[in-house]
Amino acid sequence: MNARMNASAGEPMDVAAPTGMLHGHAVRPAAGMGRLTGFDADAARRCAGVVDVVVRGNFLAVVAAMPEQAHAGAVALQARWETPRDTLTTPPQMRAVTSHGNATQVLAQGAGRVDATYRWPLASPRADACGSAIADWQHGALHVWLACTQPAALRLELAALLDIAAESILILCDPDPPARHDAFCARQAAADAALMAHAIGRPVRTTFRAAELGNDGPKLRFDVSATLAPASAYTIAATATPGAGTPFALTQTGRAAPYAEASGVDPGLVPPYAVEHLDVSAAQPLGVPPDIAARGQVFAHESHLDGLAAQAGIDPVALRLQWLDDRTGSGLITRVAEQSGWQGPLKGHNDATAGVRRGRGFAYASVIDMEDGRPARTWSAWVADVEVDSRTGDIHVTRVTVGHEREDIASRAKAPTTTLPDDIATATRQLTTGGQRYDDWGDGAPAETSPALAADGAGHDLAPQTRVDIVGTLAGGAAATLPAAAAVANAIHDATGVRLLEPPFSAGQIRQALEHKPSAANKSPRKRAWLLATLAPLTALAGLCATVLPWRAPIAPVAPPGPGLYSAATIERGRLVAAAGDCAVCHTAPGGTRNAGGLALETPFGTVYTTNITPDAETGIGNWSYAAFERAMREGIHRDGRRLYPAFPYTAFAKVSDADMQALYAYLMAADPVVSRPPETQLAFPFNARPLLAGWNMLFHRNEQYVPDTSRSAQWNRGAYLADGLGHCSACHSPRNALGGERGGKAYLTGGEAEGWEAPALTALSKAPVPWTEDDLFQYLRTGFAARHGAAAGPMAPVVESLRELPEGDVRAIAHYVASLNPASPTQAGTQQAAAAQVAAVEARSAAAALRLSGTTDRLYQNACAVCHQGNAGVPQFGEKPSLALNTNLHSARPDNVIQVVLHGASAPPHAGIGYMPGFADSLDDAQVSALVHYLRERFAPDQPRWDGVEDTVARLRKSSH
Amino acid sequence: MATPRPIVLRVNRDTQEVCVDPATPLLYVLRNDLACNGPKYGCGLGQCGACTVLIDGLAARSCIVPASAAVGRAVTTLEGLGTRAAPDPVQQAFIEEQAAQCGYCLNGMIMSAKALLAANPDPSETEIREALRFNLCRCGTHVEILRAVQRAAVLQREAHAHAEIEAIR
Repeated sequence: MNARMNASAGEPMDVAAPTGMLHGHAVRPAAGMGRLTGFDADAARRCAGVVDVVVRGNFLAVVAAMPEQAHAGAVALQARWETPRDTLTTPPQMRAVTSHGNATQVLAQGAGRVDATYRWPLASPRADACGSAIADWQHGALHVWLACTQPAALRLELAALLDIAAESILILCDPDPPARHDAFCARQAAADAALMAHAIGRPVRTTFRAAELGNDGPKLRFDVSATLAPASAYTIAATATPGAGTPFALTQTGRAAPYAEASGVDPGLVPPYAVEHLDVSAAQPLGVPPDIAARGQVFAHESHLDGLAAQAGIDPVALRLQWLDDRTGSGLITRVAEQSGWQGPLKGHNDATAGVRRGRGFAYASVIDMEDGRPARTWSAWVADVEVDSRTGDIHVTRVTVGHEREDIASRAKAPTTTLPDDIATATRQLTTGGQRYDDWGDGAPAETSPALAADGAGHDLAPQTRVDIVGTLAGGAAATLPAAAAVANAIHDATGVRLLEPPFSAGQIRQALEHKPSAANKSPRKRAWLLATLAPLTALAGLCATVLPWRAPIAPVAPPGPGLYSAATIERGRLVAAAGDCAVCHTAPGGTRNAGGLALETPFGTVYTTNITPDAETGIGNWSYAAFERAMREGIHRDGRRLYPAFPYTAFAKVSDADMQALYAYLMAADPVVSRPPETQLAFPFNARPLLAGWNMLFHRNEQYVPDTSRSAQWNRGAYLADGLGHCSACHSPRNALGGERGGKAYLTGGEAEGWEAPALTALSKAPVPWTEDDLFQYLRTGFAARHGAAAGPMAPVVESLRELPEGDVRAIAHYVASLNPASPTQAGTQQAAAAQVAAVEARSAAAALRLSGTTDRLYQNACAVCHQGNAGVPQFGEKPSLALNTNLHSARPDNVIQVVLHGASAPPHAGIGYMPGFADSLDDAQVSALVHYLRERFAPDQPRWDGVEDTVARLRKSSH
Repeated sequence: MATPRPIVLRVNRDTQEVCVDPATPLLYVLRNDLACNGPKYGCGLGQCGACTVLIDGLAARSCIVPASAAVGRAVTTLEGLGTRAAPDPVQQAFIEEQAAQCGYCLNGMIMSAKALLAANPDPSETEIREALRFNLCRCGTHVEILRAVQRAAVLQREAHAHAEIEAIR
């Protein structure tokens, strides 16, 4: 599914979200459902900022100018609910989906009958998961913005909710969901926002939090029974916990889920096998969008078939082939089995003494995928290999082999060309549209692998030459990953004999089950902190490591090189290399000894502590040979064979020349050893599984030294070498994908993140109101300040400080190279005049905007900011007076850097002459900071839209220490 | 907080060594370690100007400038302008105009005026208002302060002329 476009209408999603929108807050009883018996609308309307109270049946919401105001209004409503008892106790009415033969009777006589109940959670088990959406109802058309990948079912739901034609709904999918995003919550938010926007005729944004779902999130439940003898029989009954799947708004307004009655849209509930006796039934109404339900259904079928095969002692692949009368499916299964070297289960569970037990699992899915507007059959097959440590319960998925096919090849072939530029940037972006975030859950599938796998439509092992990050993409990618959960669960069963009946699977469950085997083996596992979605993309990555990169051996410790080994010239060169590489920036704790480690780096995967790189033999790198050092720098492998987290930018350092690498080693080894044992980095599962990084490296790391581009000048090449290698600019300034891999191609240096700060784009995508010139870049990198742009602050300040060690020529080369990335930037002296004119225009625009502003926040600005930032007022002052109108951060799409600097100041500029800015975290409250940030945007970037989510960002960044 | 270490400051033409955390605000070092109590603690956020000193002749809000920033630069506080017997022209003008009520802002007014006159020896009233905009006074001698700065400009020009004549002799 192409997430950048509206699935049915094929319109690009460059329709900007509305400005001046309102914020809605839906009010619900604890479990989501209940009859509304009373509320005080007047009390809510009296609250500041409240625009309206929306009531539709049992749906109740407050719309206000600001989210906090909506929340205050919601509290003032004092809504009263009555929870109908009967809905909780009445067993669901079952509807027969399909049936033939006499399954019940056969099962009653069945000898090797297997019964099990599988559960599939629909929302993220993370307590802080949430989803947001914006809806706008204008001129009979509904526009909805949200992060989603599969809008087809949502469109049906919204049409039913508002009783409008599905064609009048435009869903604009943001393929880059924010952190903590949950697809299930986003659908709820979309329905809430749509109802509110429809009621008041203005754009409304709202957020739904997983916490509103209560203690036990919505789940699908599948009761499955099957037997092989005397005849094959299979029954499956699907039920859902109340409120699962369907947006609450639909139930609350008394409308039925649109697909409840539609026949033939249960894409996976009927197993794709020719069974002699079959009974398939589902609760009426099930109300879960078919695309979401399909994942649970495949999990249930494929886990159960595996259980059946194990019980009967048959090869699970053979069982599928025996039951399948579908040539495409059989062909796919055969090819995948062959490529994976399938020879049946490994039966790791038979060896009770083994610490690490190995297992293999197979799963298959063939469903009708509705997502592209026209139904298409898809086939997917997975073989997963796992290693389970029976002492810790840790699960390592070491390899997967995946095949995927889809009918309707025509639509697939044209998808990339009709709407998407055929380039790496887009492909990379798309790779992250399915299971985009490590903490994602819901309908998000582990899409990292699927496009690559679907590329040639055939069974396809993840051979090392497959560059997943650059292969193109296609429709139907999500379906390729349907069997993932079952394949892994089956492999775990093969390894341990423990059948997991509900994701997410966790080390704790396995450990517990192994300790209490067999009694605990059939119990439904408890919810744990990590998610299957986390595992699945890594699954695929890990496949590479088993076949390509085995465990790395330790390199024997050596005595530290003697003091006279390296010449002073080499050590001096190494000092400059270290400066260019900013080693000390990360390897020095605040106030700590240089290079002794201990700085905490916040990453999306957890906190990584930097290590001691002084030559202390015990706690530092004193006993590292050059070979060990070079391997760490180029391949990210510790001397002892452990893999280092890519927070250490070995991906960039691999480009460093041999001579520089040796000089760096000489310099580090010549330093004074410091005994310092920084805290151990302890990430949560699965990120603590360092072997998985082998797969990561295969995808995102090329161990190649820098090769000069002979068509470019020596200065350009020097700049590129410094910027891409030692300088590791892209480590912060390139966006990263869901797995923390830097995106290359067109995404290269288009902006990223560092320690809670935005690292702005260095390319033509820069938001700077006046384009950066080579001179500006040089000034900035050399002094930390460029008059036409601003000062280096946050994590960039120590980088500039470190660059001060480098000769001027090197810094100029970096500036020259970076300037070349932005072809629009004026590099000739003749264009200086044009730049000066632009500066004047930007300042004049801001001055005009200033005339429109007054009031409390204006006074706040005058008191707190103007003395140092208003160049035309006050007395001549120590330090720069950075122009805010020219500041890139105020023109950025994100308010993060402005908020960071307002809250935490710029207390450590790279150069004292720039001046110091105090942080206002202790003197301004969140509301004042938010108001000030909005004011600054309005005054200094009047051509840019008002920022969204400023209040949330302020609250979040206030807690950060930077 | 980093550990204190000796840093060398040049304050009012004297070289002084103090042992402090280099991130300590210059104001604290001046008042607590060097007994220069002319600069006052006001808001602590560089907003009110009561702590103003000159660093290399430029006005600086010493409550937000760390001591380390002054290393290698000339710091001038109110004490460095003139003495009771021989006040600086700006001090003399403030005395003559009686431009003080509570006096807490006065250090900042005088030091800022000093920085202003160094850059613009003959400012108009509008320029003075614009220059002192960010020095807050809450008790009400604004008019006297304006007059004092105007008089200071005259006195300073006279003093310079006098000094030049002396030099020619």
